[in-house]
Amino acid sequence: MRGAVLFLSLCAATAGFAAAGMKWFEAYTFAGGSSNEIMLAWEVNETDGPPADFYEVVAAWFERPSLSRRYAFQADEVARNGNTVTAFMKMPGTGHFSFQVRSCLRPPAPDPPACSAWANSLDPTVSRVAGVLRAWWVYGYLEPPGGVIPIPASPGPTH
Amino acid sequence: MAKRAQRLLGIVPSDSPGVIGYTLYWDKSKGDSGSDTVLNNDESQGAVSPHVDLGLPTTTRDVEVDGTTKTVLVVDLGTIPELATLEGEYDFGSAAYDGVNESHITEAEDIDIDFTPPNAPGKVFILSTP
Repeated sequence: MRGAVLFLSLCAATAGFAAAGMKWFEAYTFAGGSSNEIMLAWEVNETDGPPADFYEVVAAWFERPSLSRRYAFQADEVARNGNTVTAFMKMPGTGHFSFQVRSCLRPPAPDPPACSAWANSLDPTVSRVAGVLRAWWVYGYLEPPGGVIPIPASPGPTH
Repeated sequence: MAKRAQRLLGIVPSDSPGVIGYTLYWDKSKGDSGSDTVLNNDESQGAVSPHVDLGLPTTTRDVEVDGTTKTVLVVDLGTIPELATLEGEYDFGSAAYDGVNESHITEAEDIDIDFTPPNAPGKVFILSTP
């Protein structure tokens, strides 16, 4: 479909996530706390058709597939630089997540949207790590308590 | 019945979404005589430290931590049967869990624990009567 997503990346500007360098299913793993926000980027192809009305993003949860999260970003609400679109989202949980993005056109109701094929971060032909074609996913780890603190006894001995 | 001291620990909650509880870990403190105790909740790394499931503590308190006020989950160690016989300095730690995973342990070292009351006095006499 016209307006299809060409490349999908996790931006270097994403805060709190570091390249863990682990390989599993030949996918590069970014690891960070599961309360962090990530910035996803994708490139769109609009050379031979109208731009997308909106983009669908799926965070596919490896450990809990049934709880995978779906997002919709309106084309006029996402940041755009040339053909590169960026969007922020909170990690939906703790565990491994791959991401899928597709472009969609919104035809007059009641027709369903017409969408491109999915670009999947686990597909090394459309995914990039630091500009290099490579599959990737994100591991959000459960963050430990922020501290354990002795509290002065109050009001005193108890029975 | 003896009185037992109240010893409270505050746990600064995990920032992660979906946390449904906390585990409390402890081990005898090495003090100054050896390396710091490293509490462990990973079987692949060796013996798991003594622990108890706290669930999700419901009592909170605002405490000063590093110059900022934080709301902590309050744990009364005196109410935990597994700790009833502890005496001396211990390292305590807590990990958050979400039903699938458990976090790393956040530790607090060298906390003095004394839940053992002294022996009761011997007999009580009436020394004199009017």
